[in-house]
Amino acid sequence: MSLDIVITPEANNGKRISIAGSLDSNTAPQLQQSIDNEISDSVTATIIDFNGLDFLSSAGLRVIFKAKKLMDGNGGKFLLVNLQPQIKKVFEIIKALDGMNVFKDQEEMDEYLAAMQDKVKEGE
Amino acid sequence: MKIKSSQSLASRLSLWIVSLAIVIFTSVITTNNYLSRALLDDYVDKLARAATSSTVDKIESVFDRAESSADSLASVVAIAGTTEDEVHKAIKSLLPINAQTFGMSVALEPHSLLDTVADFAPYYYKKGEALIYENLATDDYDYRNQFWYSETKKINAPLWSDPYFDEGGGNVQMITYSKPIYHSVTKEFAGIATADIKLAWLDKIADEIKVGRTGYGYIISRNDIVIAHPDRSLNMKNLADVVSDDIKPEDWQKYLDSKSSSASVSLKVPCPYQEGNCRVAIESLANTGWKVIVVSPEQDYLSDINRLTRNISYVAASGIIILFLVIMVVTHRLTSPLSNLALATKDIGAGNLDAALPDAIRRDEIGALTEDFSSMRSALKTYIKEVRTATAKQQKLESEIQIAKDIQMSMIPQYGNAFIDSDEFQLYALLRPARTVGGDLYYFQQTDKSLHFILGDVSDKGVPAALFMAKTVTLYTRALRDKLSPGETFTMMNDILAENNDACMFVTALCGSIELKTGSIVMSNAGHMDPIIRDPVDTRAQEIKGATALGLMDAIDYPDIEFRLEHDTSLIMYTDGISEAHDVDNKQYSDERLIELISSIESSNSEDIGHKIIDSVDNFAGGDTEQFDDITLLIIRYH
Repeated sequence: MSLDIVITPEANNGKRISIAGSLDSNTAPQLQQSIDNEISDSVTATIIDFNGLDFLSSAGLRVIFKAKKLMDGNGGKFLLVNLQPQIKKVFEIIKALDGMNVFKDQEEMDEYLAAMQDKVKEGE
Repeated sequence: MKIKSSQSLASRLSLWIVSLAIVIFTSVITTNNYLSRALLDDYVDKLARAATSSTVDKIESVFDRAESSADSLASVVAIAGTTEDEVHKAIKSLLPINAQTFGMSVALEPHSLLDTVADFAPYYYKKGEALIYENLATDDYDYRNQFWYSETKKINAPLWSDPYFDEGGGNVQMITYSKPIYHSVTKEFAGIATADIKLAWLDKIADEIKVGRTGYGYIISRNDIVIAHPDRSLNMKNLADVVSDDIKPEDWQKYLDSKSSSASVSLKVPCPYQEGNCRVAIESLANTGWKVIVVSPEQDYLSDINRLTRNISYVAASGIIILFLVIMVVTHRLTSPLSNLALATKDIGAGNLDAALPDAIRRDEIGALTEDFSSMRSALKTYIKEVRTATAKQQKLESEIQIAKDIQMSMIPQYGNAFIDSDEFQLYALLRPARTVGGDLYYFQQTDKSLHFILGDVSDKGVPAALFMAKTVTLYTRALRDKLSPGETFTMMNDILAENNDACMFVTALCGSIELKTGSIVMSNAGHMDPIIRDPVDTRAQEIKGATALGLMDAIDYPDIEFRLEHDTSLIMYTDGISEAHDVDNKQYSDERLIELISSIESSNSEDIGHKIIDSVDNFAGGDTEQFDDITLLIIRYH
């Protein structure tokens, strides 16, 4: 099975990486390549959109974690959205959801982002 | 591929061009033949008419002179008071003037011009140089009852007789022109002046009519009697006897009747004596009403045209043969490098990259092809060399990995396939990497009172996973040495693995230790799937609460989970190479299926259970597909 990657810009210099198909040891290097190319220091938020992803292996998880580490290092946000049940289960098994910003859908994520925005304004 | 000579470019090109040439030549020859025939028709028509006209002119000039002689004689005699002597003298003086005139006479009415004479008819004719006199005024002859006299008198106009055989005079075929004489004073009919013409010369004129090779002509009288014909036996015969039986006489007559005017006519009829059509031209003589008929068979000219056509055809055929040969030679010369190239291709295809290529000296497409072919060969050589180098490198790498595999397997008990059957427990362990080396691991160690074990799965597979696995196993052995509890073991391992882990490699693992005397067990879970417990009552997943997989973040405390294994209970641990194995439809094997399978196995022997599980997963994945992920299975049965 193959992996389709679509990258779209988001507000405030964010990037949305939409993945569909199978993210396994064969396709993980593709996603790694896309992340290396697209996620520069100036990117403030990376959203991984799992809508359409059917399978996620440990090799794929590794790439996700690496991307999170990169964003954490830059002080940017790392958000996961539209996880289907079987994908979410993979995260649950390795108990990796703690400390991850995971949203079940777009709406939930938008609310979170709006709240964050307000926080920033209050801070000013 | 072998090319049949009939399918070669040369043959096909020749076939096309030669066929086209044949079509063109045939069209030209056919058109030429057709136009020639049309021209011929016109030409023959003119020829026949010309022959007719000239013949008519020849004959008429003779007749005209005879007429003028007789007319002069009549005028001379008509003067009143003429004497017998003067008449004799007039005849004798006029007769020699015209060479064609054979004889002349004056025949008078009784007591007309010569009061005293009743019958007067002197006649002179030529015999050699001399003029012979004959008196026609005899009782036997009775000249006034002769046709030439009585008819002329009756119509009261000059008259040409039909041809007749003159027995009295010259004993020859002749015709006579009769001219009425009128008294110069009284203007009354006084007699006839005649001029005879022998017809023998007409034969000569008929003989002289020549059109083409076999064309001929003849002369007929106004009553359709043949007067002069090249075939003398036909003279004096009726026209109907002359034309062949092929033509119906009435048809012939119809032509003649419809064309009896003095102007020349020309018509096309089937030839009387031979095959094909004949052009027939007919022209009447003004004074006698005779007709000159010229027959010209088209065959005479057709044979010329046919010969012309034949000769052109020969030339065309020779041209086509030469064309064919030239095309064959030229295309063969053009394509022979292609054949050589084809042979060379075969050689190169068979692996002989040094096969000789034809010289690329030509500046045409074939030359360019040969050049390109040559550079393709060089590129192939380079490529093959690169492939060989790469293959050699690959082989080296593979042998290195093979060694790495040996090292990796030596790091786990019994090289990845263990079975221990002791008084207290049975242990079955299997590690089968998807590639030569992998990231799965198991380890166990029995101490005085306990059995310690770990089963883990490093993220991804292959060499990176194998290196991380080695580190993991080493750390576990260190934890065993330091006698750490399972929770402490993971806490220690996680802190070390998370350090400088930029690649974000991680390990999910279960570890534990069983107190062999009591069955009391302590386990810890680092992000791994729960183990399956099979006891005499049922088979189920045993939840082991734990924390995140090892290596992702540091400073995590992993709890120790304690419980008891009853007697005759198996603890089954596995990696996702089993639960996530795919079938051909991309469906996963799943934990549920695994639990169902284990519960259905009758034997409680760990090795049996292990083999059944592996067989089931292999069947599910299908024999042909490559193993999806590393597979590790660890089964411990507490007796």
